[in-house]
Amino acid sequence: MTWPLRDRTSIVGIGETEYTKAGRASRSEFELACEAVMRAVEDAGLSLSDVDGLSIYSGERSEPTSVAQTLGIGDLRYVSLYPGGGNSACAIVHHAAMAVASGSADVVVCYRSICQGEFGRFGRARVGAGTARGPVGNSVGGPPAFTMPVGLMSAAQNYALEARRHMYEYGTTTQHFGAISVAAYAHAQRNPRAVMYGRPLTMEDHANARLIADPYRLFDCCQESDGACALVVTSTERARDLRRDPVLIAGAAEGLVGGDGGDRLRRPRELWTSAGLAGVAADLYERAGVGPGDIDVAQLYENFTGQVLMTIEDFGFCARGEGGPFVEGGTLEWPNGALPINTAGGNLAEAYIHGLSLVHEGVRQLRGESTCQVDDAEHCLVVAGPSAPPSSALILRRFR
Amino acid sequence: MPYFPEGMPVPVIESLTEPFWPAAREHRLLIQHCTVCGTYRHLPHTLCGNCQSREHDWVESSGHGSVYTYTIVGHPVHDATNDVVPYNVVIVELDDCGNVLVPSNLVDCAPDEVAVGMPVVVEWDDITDEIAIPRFRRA
Repeated sequence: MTWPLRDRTSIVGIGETEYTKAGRASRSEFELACEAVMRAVEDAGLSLSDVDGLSIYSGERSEPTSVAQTLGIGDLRYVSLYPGGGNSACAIVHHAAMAVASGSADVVVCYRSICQGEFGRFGRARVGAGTARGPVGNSVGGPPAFTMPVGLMSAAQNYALEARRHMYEYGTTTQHFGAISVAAYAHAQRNPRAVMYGRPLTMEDHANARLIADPYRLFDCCQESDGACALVVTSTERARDLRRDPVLIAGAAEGLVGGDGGDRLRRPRELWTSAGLAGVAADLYERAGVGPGDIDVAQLYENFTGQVLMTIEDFGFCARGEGGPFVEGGTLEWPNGALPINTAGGNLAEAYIHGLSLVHEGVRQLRGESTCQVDDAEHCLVVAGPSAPPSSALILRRFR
Repeated sequence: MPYFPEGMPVPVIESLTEPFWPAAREHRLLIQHCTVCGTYRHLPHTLCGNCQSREHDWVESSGHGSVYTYTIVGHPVHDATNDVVPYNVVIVELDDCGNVLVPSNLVDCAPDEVAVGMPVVVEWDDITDEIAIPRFRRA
């Protein structure tokens, strides 16, 4: 049976603030959120009073009630909050599409806003709160009682453990990770919105950068950025009358492989060398009615480069363990590579808005407006945070 | 000598981990074990992920295992680690107790000597009167 939502909903508007390094935003996180939402709605040719749904993910500090009230949004009929962080960047679009297709809402806006200057940086260790006996100085309870005292206290460190295991099992090298960084930075050099615009990166720069958590060096890690972005989902039927050509949501999928979950140590062993997205990929291709060979361009969430490589494997662009050789020789680079990824610079070099900006670049590719435009792009794969279950992905399709 | 300087986070003993830490202070490595289906689990959890039972006991491990994977931390994210980078974090796969994975550190091992597959054995690091942390050394 064909997935009933295939092509029935569309992204009809996108909006972004300027993107800056963390701490450089000139306005509050809430103002950034409101600006992005307003721009997305304006881009769609709709008015704020048309919006009747909001779809966000965990960690979003700009409350939908405050956004709705401040922006003069009318009657709100649907609000959704997905768990997790960057893993959810495509799931909130999936939820918006389900709300619209079911008739529970007409126009749903998805948004993400980050201002780390206002609220503190993500990369630092956080200690002390929330134990059964209450916060006690530098004491830790719960699962962190077993990880923080051994110095395992950041995302980079945790994901580095998986990258090292992939290297051990398959012979993957840090040069393979470097190919992913270099592609993103090359694309950012054509995108004036990118934080790393004007900052090209060579394989040598990648190899000589300071060590973060071996095998990861600085340019293997996503940036810490400030900024906000938002997008508008409505029915494809309604989209035909709007200002812009719609970008069809051909497929959307989310979830996790059985046995995966919050305790990284308890996962089945094979998930140590995978992005945990094989199930999402199978659902997604079936729902969209296409396969890996139909994907013209991809936006793959970079928390860290090794996880991108595992994403490429999970989505069937090469066999398991062959991600390293696959990315050699410019495969990922526009305009000549077979699979150009992160064509605006991605989380590594454009901005890290917890992955939602990757969906925006997918929309630009299918509108023909990317600064690294893939000729005749018809399908764009967008994947949210890998190895961070439950994760999610979209296949966007050109309208005509 | 402790692996980390003072100021590192110290575990709080909670009801779930009450057996683990006092045994650790006696230099015994206990792993939680489901008495219904026999599945071992580490980190501790209230329910078994295999049969959902809450019945469990704690089984003493020999402390022998091997490095499943590792990282060398170069960038400190906690002030207590500012002066000890680069330091290693290893995930040890125990030889017994269902081959559970234990996050730890390898003592007396230079960063470029850490390797996946290296045989290791537990070594105790007494950090307070109540708490000892299981580290490992080359076996």
